[in-house]
Amino acid sequence: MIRDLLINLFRILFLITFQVLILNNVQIGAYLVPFLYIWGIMRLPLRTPPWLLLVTAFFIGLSVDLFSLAPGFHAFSCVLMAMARHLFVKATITHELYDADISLSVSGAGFSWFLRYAAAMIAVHHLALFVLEAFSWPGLLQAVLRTILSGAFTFALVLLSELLTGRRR
Amino acid sequence: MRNLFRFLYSYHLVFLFIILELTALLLIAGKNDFQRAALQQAAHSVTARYYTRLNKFREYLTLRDTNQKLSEENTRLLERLANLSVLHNTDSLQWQNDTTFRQSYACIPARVINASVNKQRNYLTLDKGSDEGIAPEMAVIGSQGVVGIVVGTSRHYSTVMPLLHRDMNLSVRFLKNQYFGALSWPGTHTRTGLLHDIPLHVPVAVGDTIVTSRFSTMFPEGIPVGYVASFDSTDGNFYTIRVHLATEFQQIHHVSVVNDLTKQERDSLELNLPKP
Repeated sequence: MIRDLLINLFRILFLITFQVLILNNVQIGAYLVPFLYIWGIMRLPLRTPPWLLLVTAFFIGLSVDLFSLAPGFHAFSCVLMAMARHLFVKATITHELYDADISLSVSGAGFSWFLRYAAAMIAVHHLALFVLEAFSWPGLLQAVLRTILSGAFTFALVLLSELLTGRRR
Repeated sequence: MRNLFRFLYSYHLVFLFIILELTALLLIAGKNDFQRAALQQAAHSVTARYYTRLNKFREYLTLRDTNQKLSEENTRLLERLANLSVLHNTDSLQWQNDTTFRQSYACIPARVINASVNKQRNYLTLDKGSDEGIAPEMAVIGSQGVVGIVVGTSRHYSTVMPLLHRDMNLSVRFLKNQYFGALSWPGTHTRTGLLHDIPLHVPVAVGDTIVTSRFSTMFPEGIPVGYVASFDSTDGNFYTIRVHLATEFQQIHHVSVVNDLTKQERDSLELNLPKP
């Protein structure tokens, strides 16, 4: 329990720092910005109470916001994503898996499940973020384009992180 | 009552979700400038130190480029100085304390310690603030041209709204003639701005230089903004002109904050216009 808490806390702090100091400065064209920090929300323990999940996501988003001087955008997208995570997990994780308290990772929940999970979470988060940022109809197509391009980048980074941290069995 | 509590409990997640999302939306839509400034200042006290350190490191990496740009700017300024002295023949000139030679702009050099270019509403952070005399609405100019406008200051830092911001609207004109229009940023590419309000009879050519106009209350006249990249006339009576911005926002380190010493006088005069 304590160990889980520490691991998650450390992971989230590291991801936020990494996001703000390194990834926010990665600018390949105007479209590509990876947001790896959401991996921290994706990997919160399966049995995290849903309310805690939302509140944690809100504060993770808010701390990324603080560094970009435009508060609210990441907080909104993160809370939406946390809600999506709650629904997605409820719909796809069976009671046996829930009782076994598996980790929501490649090694814990299986490769194909994690692929679907990551794709859904990244799509929700990025789309909300970019649509909110564009906030106009002509900007909508561009927002979708940015979602796809940045989303693919984030997806690759999430998978890479999974491979680097996954335990071999 | 019991039912009410049960109802609240069974939907507590939905309520929490709505409350958090509304809070976020309020933060986004916060038109309240004071609130925003207060939040930025709070954020600055935490983040600016990191950025200062990070920037020190980043400066090393681009030292070569920066030197090159500074020396180019030096040359340009020397050239202008030379022209000026030819014009005025300073040796024999008697300097009078009248409006012709009154200093109307003061420059404060600053360094950019944080910059974003990948959002729709980008901001820069400078390492000088109100203690050094920076105030909101001052113009920010880099070695290549216009950068943006100061929007917020704390004691040692200030935030700048660059050209790369959806709400930016700058009064500009052609260098070769006096036709003026408004420049905005469509949010698509970091080097492309849009120039509106140029009527179809104005001769436009690719490569024309766009500079700030004298109608801007913040910028001195004639600071380079960009160059015409392409134009078309499909939109009724006006051209749609895409402008290649002069400033490379991804590589920006040293800027000057321009304090228009006559601005207050001009503004108060214009405010006192007789009401029709």
